[in-house]
Amino acid sequence: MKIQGAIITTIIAIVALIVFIKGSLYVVDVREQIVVTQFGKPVRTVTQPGLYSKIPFIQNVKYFEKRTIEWDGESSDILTRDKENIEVNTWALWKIIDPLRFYTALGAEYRGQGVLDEIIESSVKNIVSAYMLKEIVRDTNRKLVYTTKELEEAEMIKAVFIEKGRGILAEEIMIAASQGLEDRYGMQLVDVVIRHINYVSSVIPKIYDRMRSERLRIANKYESEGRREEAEIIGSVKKELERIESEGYKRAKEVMGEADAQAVKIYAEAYKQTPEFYSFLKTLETYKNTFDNRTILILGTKGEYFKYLQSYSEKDPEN
Amino acid sequence: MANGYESRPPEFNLDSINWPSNKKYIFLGIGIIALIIGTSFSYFTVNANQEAVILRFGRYIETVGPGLHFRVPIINKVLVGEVKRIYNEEFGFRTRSSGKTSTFDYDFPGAQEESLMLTGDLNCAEVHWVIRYKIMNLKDFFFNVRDVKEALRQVSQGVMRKIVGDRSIDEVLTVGRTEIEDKVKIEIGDKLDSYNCGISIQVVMLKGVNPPQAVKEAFNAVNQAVQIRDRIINDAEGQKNKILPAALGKKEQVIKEAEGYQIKRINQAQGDTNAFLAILEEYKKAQDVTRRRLYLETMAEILPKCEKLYLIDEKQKSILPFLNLGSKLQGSESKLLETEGAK
Repeated sequence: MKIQGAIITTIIAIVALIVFIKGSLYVVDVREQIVVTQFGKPVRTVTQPGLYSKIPFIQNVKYFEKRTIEWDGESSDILTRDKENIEVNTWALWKIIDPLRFYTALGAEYRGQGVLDEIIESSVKNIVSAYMLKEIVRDTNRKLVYTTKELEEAEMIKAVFIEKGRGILAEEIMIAASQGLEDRYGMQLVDVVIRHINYVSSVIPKIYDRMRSERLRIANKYESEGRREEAEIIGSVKKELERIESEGYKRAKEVMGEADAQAVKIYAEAYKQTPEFYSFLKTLETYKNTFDNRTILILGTKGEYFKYLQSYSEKDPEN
Repeated sequence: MANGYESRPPEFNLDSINWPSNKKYIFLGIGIIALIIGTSFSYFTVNANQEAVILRFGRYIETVGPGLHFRVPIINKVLVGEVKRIYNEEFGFRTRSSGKTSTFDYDFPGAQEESLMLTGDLNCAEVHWVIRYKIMNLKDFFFNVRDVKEALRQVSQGVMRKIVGDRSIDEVLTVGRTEIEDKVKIEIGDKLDSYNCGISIQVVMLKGVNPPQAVKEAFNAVNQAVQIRDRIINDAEGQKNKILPAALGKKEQVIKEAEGYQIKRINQAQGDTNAFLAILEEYKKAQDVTRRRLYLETMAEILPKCEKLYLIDEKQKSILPFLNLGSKLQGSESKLLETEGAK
């Protein structure tokens, strides 16, 4: 019995010790920071990790996130300065840098998110509505590159000078939203990201119509470009054809003319020695060629051929 | 982020229960059980692709690699992460099943919100991309940003839209894709480094960039027009290549024919004149006889051929009325020759 009693006492003592230790010792993780409160009033903050003690039962520990926390905003419809209706969605990273202030001002993380809902969304609205749409969509003044010259020229006309661009506007939103965040709530914005900017869904069909007509215009241009080039090729073929043919004609005529001239020269060289004999021979040849069986020949008797027809004497019959 | 505990069920030491009368054994038994349980909670293994961060009372002590490690229960906390693994994040689509033939889902709820974006010329494009990343520093990964994966997802959407927003629709759809991948990779990397979140981007890959469904047809029409243009031009070039060589051939032919004519003409002339000169040579030797002979031979040859021959005395001046020449000559090509004869 005595021993049983001792065991019970020991167990009670151990439990009491555990409860006491639990109540007086606490661990602060590297990922957390804490505020110690006494009857709800903050007495101490701990931001360094380790094992710490407090008065059990009287003091309480409030844990807060030490790491960077994400904030996800709702999409909001905003009218830009050039009256384009767009939908903007932002996302941010923030952290609690002063747990005591955060605890006293807000008490819990979700309230911090609520503060950002208001602050960031109003900064986004203020800044986006103060600029033209392109200023928010574009980031720099970099020249847009196109696959066709026509589009590039068309875009050059529409181009506007980008004063700031999306990157800088996002920074401006962050600066505007950060105002007083630390002093009032012990919070700090790490980054604000414009996750997306889009036309509101009611405008999108019109945008698609514009894209379609733009593309069809290019398509037509390509086709007519083809026709133009075709005509050019056909024209140059015709020109080339005329050139080739006339060159051939010219050369052939030259060669033939030269041939005739040479022939004339050769004949003249030979015949000029005895022109009379040549004409005699040629005339005889002509007779041979021109007389045929339909020829009626009327001759005087005086001709050489008929010299012996009336007389055979050696003397000329005439004389 | 699973805890690295390796827990075994506590083993019962039968010896200690066998002798309940001996209180010494009871305490010994309890002691042994406690020891076994204690040790089983004191060791943990880190797998080959993992590392582990060890905390003591919430404070960072060290990062250990693969192997069996010791920890004191309650006092030490262990956070294990897969540092060698490549993580995959998909935007604008989801892989439904991967394997030899992967299937992708482009129509999950919210797909448009992820993929639809404005280009610098205020056109719309649907962009689908993949980001692969690795945990580089496990300590930073666990301690600095609460939801690293979410941060990566959001930042990568923001950066992709910013880069696409500074490019033309043509660049986004075709020519500028590698440049976009590179720029996005660098910018996401810079941002994540500034958050100190301990991961590094391995790859940013554009999986597909398309015009929105509603305007796809118009974009295809452009491609078709390019093909039509090329075909028209090719046809014309083909015609050109057919016609011009033929014309050149024809030209050569005409010139060659002329040259042929030239050769023939000269040869003929030389032949004719050579023949004449040969005759002349002989003629010179006996001019009168030869001349006479040539004349008579010719006459002898031509006179028999003639249909009619009229011989008229010089004194007879008008014989024509007597001859019925008209009817004879009518419609015929007959030649009426009057000759004085050869001298």
